[in-house]
Amino acid sequence: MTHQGRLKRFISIRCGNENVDDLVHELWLKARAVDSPIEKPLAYLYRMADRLVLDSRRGASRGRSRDSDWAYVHERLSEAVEHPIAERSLIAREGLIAASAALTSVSARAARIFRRYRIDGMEQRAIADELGVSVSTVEKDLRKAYDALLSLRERLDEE
Amino acid sequence: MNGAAANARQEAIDWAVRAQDPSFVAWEALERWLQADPSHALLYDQVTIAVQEAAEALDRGMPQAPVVAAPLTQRRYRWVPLAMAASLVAAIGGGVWHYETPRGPALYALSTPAGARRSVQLGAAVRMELNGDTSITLDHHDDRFARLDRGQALFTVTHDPRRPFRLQSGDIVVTDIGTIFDVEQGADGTRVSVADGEVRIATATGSATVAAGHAVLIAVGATAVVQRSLDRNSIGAWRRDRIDFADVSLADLARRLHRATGATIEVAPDIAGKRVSGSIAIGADRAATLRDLGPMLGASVSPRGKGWIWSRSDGALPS
Repeated sequence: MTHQGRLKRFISIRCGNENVDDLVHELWLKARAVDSPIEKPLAYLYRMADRLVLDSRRGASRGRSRDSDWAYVHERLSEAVEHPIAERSLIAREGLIAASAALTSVSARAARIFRRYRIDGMEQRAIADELGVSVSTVEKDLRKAYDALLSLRERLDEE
Repeated sequence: MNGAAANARQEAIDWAVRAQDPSFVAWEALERWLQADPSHALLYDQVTIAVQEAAEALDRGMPQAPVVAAPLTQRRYRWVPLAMAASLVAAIGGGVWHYETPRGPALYALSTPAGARRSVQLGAAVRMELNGDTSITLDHHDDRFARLDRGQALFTVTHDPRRPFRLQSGDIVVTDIGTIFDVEQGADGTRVSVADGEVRIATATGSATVAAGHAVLIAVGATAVVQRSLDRNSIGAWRRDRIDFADVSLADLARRLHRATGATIEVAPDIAGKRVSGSIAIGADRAATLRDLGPMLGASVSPRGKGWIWSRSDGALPS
């Protein structure tokens, strides 16, 4: 199967049948814009597709739940705010704190590993070298971190 | 959640962790898993979205919010993010924080039984008042250091900018900037209340400055702190046989009463987390004070052995 065929299949598995052609098209535009040579082009395309699908799914889920998630955090965790502080920045700040608290409740090491992985974009192997632990330790910490963040979101979605 | 659903959830997490590694190439295998069951694609979405949003929030970070100056008689709760102080993070390796003294630390401990209190002068510049059931570690070679191992203590410190006083509690370090401050270890974390001056609090993941008339609760295992303004007179009220409490759990309150009176108070598990607020003046007849707490707590207070037990107020005692 051609690259295009495989990626189209991957995207439609992720998205059902919504938006598949739009996303494939967007993927191709982005892929053509890449200048430098890519070592593993298929894997690279998959990763790009994965990212596009993620952004698209976030938009879809946000349309459903709107500001409810972090507004809910805001209600649960603070008493009535007396000043009309900029709501959005307050809500965003609490989202940050809830996520940060979820990560450090696993362990300080897991929080650090999560940062290196998801924010700094390091490979698990490189993180393991940096911290002087095994790759499987890094992977286990990441699983616990992801679990904690997923649980946080599940709790918010319940209400 | 049944067994199969729990498995799928864990699998989604495992796949998300693996697939987001820059070196991941097993996309076809991921596809096969996604197709294996209708729930898989949904779960994978949920994990990846949750993780992505958390990562973006952390990456953006937030500037440290200014402490909202509030009238001291109001009680309000504010979430305050901790600024990341990278050099501080490096400095706190988790071990005890000591200044370099020529002879190295010579540690010793002081402790009080429950129901007793003790005042200690530490060098010329630091006075410590220890509540009951409290244990503190000091250093013969460094009178600007103390470690709270258990309980509660209030510190009155004359500031010396060349050698600030440091109080360690767990992996938190409180540094004075000319202060009167109170530190208490409880079930839900460490509370630091500042009556005068300012302190700087450092944890493994961040630091914050707390000014007079404010208190922070550093929850166990979290970087999040609740900062609230409070009545300065309530700080250290335990020295005058009074316990002021706002939104504390019954388990925590029982612990404070134990420190103050020496009485053993058991709390039934189904109400141990219940939050209460109020003020208790411990009278000369301690037993009467403890016996009459029921209505304030909304619980049933009964004698048990030499102490007390608090239980749900419809009267059913745990077996």
